[in-house]
Amino acid sequence: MSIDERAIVEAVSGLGFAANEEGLIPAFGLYLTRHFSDYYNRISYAFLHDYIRQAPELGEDARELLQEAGRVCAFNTFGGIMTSVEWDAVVRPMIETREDWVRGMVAVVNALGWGRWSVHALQGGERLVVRIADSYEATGFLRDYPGSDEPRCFLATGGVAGLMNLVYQGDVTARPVFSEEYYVEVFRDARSFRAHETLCIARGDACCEIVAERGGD
Amino acid sequence: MLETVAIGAIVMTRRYGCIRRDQYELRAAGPFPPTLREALAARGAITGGPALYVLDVPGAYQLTVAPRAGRALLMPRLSTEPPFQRASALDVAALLDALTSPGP
Repeated sequence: MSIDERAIVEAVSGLGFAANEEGLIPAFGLYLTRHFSDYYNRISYAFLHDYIRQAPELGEDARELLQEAGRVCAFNTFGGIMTSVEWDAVVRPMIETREDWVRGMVAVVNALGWGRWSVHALQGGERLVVRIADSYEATGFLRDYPGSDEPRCFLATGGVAGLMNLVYQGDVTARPVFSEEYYVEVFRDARSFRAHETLCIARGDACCEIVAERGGD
Repeated sequence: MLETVAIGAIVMTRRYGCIRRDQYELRAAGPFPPTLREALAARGAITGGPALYVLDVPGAYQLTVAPRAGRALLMPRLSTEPPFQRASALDVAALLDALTSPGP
């Protein structure tokens, strides 16, 4: 395997994501945000529970909205990272296959404090299984709630689908313009990847697991 | 993409970033020379290693450099005006060209 995750995490962590005098964090050609994961979690889960309380029949819609936030995040953030100067410097030299783009991006995620992602299985162009230890979403959920019958890693679920769409449905290697039109083209096609969480510590599983697969023909 | 300009051996591409600033990508045909880091150090604080480093010039811009890839990105501070932003990028491009192009 050509991707040296340790080197990637070391290089990305060494960038030091601190705000400049304008209070902004420019990195990967983007502006990053750095705030308490509990803040995002509490807003997300309060939204979800409030939505379900007021309209139980729309619970699936609420979950879908939270995952869509993850897909849009992946499109802009992962897309920006994979076309960045930082990527060219650290990850690009390690890449030998298209699958290495997926592994490289997962390595970068592990420098961002989202939990410990690992590629459990990757069928190029068809299926990705990511396992997450210490997912900030699930651990945060369990701090505030007693548990759940259903998975709770919405951003990560959208993110995993987004990663596969960028690499295999679109072509992030061609440095596309990340416009709204491109998002619709890549993420809203019938064959675009969708993800679902099959294991989640929020419901008592040993880890979180997300599976991304192509939509049906 | 808003503009592509050649400054000697350096290609500068200006892309829309947001309403307050554009982004400037600077590319050479090959790697940047090792002397670039020292030349940039006179302008501000540099962090990072030989494969990736960042120059931060408070009140002006941040320049991220992948020297082996021959690629750099200048992100202006939001408080600066577009003419200053472009002038900063052209200034860095000129420096890159001076260091990259073969001498007489």
